[in-house]
Amino acid sequence: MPSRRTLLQTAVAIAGSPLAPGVIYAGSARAAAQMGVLYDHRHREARAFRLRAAQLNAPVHGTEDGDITDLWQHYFSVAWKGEPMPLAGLTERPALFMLEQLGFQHGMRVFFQAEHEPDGQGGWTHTIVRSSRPALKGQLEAAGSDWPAVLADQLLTAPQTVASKDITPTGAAMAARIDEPARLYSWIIAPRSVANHL
Amino acid sequence: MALPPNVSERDFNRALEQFSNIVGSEWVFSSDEDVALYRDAYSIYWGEPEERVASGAVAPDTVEQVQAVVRAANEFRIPLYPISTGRNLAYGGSAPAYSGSVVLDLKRMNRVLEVNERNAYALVEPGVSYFDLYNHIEERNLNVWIDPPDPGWGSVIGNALDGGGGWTAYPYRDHFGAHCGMEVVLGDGDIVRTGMGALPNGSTWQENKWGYGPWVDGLFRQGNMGVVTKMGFWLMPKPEAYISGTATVPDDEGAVGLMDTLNLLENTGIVNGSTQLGGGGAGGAGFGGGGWSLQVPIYGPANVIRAQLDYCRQKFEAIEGCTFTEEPLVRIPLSPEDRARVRLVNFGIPNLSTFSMLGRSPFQPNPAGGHIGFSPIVPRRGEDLVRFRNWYQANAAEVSGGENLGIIGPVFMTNWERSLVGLIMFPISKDPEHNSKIRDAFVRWVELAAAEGWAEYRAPTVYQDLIASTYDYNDNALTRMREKIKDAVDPNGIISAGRYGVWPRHLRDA
Repeated sequence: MPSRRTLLQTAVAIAGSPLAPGVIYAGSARAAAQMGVLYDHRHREARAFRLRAAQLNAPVHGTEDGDITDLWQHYFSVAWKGEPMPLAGLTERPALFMLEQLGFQHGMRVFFQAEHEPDGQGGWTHTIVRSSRPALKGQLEAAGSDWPAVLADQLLTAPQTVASKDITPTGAAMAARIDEPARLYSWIIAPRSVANHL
Repeated sequence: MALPPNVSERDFNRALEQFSNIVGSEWVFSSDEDVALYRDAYSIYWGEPEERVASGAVAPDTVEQVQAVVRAANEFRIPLYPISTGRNLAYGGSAPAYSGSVVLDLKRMNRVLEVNERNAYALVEPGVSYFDLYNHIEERNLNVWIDPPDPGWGSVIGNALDGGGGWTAYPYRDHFGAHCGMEVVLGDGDIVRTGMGALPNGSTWQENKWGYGPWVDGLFRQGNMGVVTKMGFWLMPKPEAYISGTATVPDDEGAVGLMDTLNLLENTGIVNGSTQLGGGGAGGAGFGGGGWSLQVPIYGPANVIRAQLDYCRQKFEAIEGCTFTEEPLVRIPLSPEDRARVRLVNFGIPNLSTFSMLGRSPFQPNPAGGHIGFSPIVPRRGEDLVRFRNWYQANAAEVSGGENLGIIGPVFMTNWERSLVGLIMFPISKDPEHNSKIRDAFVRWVELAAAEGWAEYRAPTVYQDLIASTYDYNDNALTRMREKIKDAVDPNGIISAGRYGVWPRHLRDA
């Protein structure tokens, strides 16, 4: 039984069964409804990401403390055993690491990764780590404080335009430096077969 | 495509072809993209030439396939590195000890073969994770607990074979100690069952550890004599309740009585839970405190453990200056309120929370994630506790070259019975310069500890030779004996070359 402590189930129910990966990556509002979303409730930006995802009818899952155990046990592991559903997220690094590792055995890979860091002056800097569209950085910068909503739009409704063909492990287990500042990580994890449709 | 050492591309391709014939081509991996999945996520050599990497991977589904793969590997002299789920992060993960080995990935062998509630044991395959076994038991509402480590996504067999431990009652939290019987494919493809498992048609394989004659199971703990394909474990019947108390002494003098009393209470079976030691100015509890505190948990029937805790109070309060506080009794199964506040692994519930919490503090809100540990075994006496702490504090600045490398120590672990572990934690990241300094510090701590008679019980693959070299009584007699056995049961040195410092003949001489 999922606990309140680690699980905020704010899902919007989706109708019908998941589409094939290629269809998901056709890109549309319909695509958003076929992607799961994970956000970290501790961060305002992640909550804004979640709000936009819910408006797009994406099934949304939250974690209160960064621990994905209950979500993994009761949702993702079950879903991924059948027809794996792509998942997009705005979280801290450990959640990406855990889901990427757990996803390997279900044929899931990380197709998109970006890092978002407070600039100390109320704004954010964005680093596009893995994407076929580095120009997304400019879009996020132009969006100012609305960047989480813009990010959700891009990841959920047009995933095929941001996904990369590079699907090697991200190395998200470790930070780049031990004194790395706090960051948020955005990502898409999807079935490896998606690569065939890019 | 990387090649195993001393193997031609032609032979490697022929071996891969044979592996494909045995397990199916979809379960043989040699592309860079696939092989990268087997990198050690916490490698202290991340991205550097010395990083231990695989040349390929093969994932059998049955013990017969394991035998066939081992025989094919013998034919082409392909080094194999078996992993269960490959999640022993900080100890090498799924990357081989000998670079260029082919990972023998046993994840597909993930069947829970039996959980016997009546006699409280389980028989599992290597790919069964703690989550898998927990789910199997809970779905059937069986009256037994597992003992998960932190985190619980790893293999039950893999953790036991690596020397891992958990957080419930003794002896169950000593994972190798709680095993009973195993099935092993040796380096030449032969298959053995240990203990009572060698008795055809016997039914006590998981009920008697020793069987008849010399006991060989220990050869496979941190070993490379074969591939363990089944293993039995004793399980704890679900206890009725849990209670704990905390004894606190004001100074180092009190630590002597604290440890002596703990030893008495554990050695007489009064305290059976995983105790937790803090304070004393040790790194695990912050450098400020002068006193020591010890939490003693007990599992059992409610009225019995209340009496046991009363006895603990009586014994601890006999120490001068010691205070003893009790925490509320927790009924099992856990109420939702208790479940939300307790540490789940103490109640046999696997989870991954450690990844979102480990190393996080007000001083380090964004820990680097990667880490390795040096965990020397220390006598469980108050005098030695204080001596180890003083030794650490006296050497810390010099070992770190006057820099703050983020090393934390010592964290004293009392979860193994009879001895202490003085854990020193080393943060690692993807920064080669910092990792290089951490490597220097690690080696220095190993040398300093060995000079004091303290040595590690478990090590990352890259330091297994170093640690083995500290166990050098009588000109490394123990290592030499292991090498003789290795040469006999794995004559071509196929299985896990170099694991825990045991190398096959052709690589010892190289």
